[in-house]
Amino acid sequence: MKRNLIIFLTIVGTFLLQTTFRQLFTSVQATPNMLLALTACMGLMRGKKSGLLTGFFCGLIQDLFFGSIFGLNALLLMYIGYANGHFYKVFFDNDVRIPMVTVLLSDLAYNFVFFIVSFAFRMRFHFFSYLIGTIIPEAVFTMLCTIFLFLIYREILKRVAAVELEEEHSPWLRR
Amino acid sequence: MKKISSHLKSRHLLVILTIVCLVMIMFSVSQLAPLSPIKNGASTIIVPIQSGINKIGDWMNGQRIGRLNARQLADENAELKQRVKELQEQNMVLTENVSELDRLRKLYELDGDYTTYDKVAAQVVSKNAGNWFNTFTINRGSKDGITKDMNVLADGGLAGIVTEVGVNWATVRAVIDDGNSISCMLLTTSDNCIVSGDLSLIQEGKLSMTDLKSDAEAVVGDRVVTSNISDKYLPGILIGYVDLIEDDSNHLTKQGYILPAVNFSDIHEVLVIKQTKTIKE
Repeated sequence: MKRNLIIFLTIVGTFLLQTTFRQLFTSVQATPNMLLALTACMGLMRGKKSGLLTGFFCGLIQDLFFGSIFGLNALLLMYIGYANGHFYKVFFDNDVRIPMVTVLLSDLAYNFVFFIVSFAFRMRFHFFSYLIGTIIPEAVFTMLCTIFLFLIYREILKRVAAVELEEEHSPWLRR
Repeated sequence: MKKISSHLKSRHLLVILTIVCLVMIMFSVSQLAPLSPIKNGASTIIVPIQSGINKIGDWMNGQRIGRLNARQLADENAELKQRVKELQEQNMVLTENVSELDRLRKLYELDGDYTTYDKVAAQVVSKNAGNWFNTFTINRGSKDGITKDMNVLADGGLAGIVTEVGVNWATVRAVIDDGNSISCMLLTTSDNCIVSGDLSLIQEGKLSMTDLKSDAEAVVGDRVVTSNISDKYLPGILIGYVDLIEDDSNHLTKQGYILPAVNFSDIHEVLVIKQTKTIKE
């Protein structure tokens, strides 16, 4: 219960930070996709199921406030969390390079699908100008932000693991 | 629920949630299920928090400016004084022009100046989470008299249109959003054209202009305003200035770019015109 609460608050906090990013840092032009970074980190550090559930809720909260197609972000981020979960077994938690690479790839994939669904269907095909103007800046910026976000999320997840261990030792709490 | 989910394999969970998502997408695309009450409830809680965070952002900005050293500020001050002089001269010319404008306006009987509309000021509290769309949320809603399709101004030009309204918030779609298109006219020749947002032009901060008649005598720098035939935008609101103009390949129409009057990378305060086009007619 406590675990779910911590993760839920992390998602909401990340969402708030992401939506107010432009107001907080007025000199920065692109917004990093922090919810995607969170989803990828959860997948890497806690496995497929955690990754896909986090992705689902991250996408859902995004759809709730801004999505034009309700459920699209939830679907995309869920698959990203699940895909990142495949690296759970090979991931060691002190190496920040792995999340950086997976976040970069995930962001490129996410935006590519997003482009197809939202733009190519409306007969807008300037893919290369979107790629250079929107997709690559976001992906690179998100990758750089992952360095900081990863450290924060790792600390939070350590707390979560401690809570889980505690609940393991007190089985009456699980009922 | 927890019991079930802890026994479920991740693969099965993925399939179940995929189906859930697809059902939600279908409902949302077909607009069968009413989603706005849920959105409204959630936003009512989250908008005040976002307002608070923005206050922190303003404070941080103030700190940053405060740290600029005195030398820099002195230079800037000298520069600004120079600029004031220039502007004073310009102002003199402009006041002369205003009287002329008044006279011409009476001649035209064009009383559609948007400075006369009833407006309400609002602050931008959050921006769409992503770089694909240009929508933002403002901290005024139905309790301040805002309804859907109201026009939003910033920096003296058209910033966007209200697309969704909650109790204490409203979502605004910016003019530069890729899904936006407005019927406009050139102020000098009254020729109609279509101005639309285009994501591939956002980086340059421009809008695309199409469907201008080929015999229209437009030149770079002409003012472009919303036209009378637009169904959602009030007439005569400044959108921007013609930046480039060229013949279409069919030689029947012209197309080009428009430099918007609003600086979209830095919007903080906006004005909402409390009048919609449909009510007026």
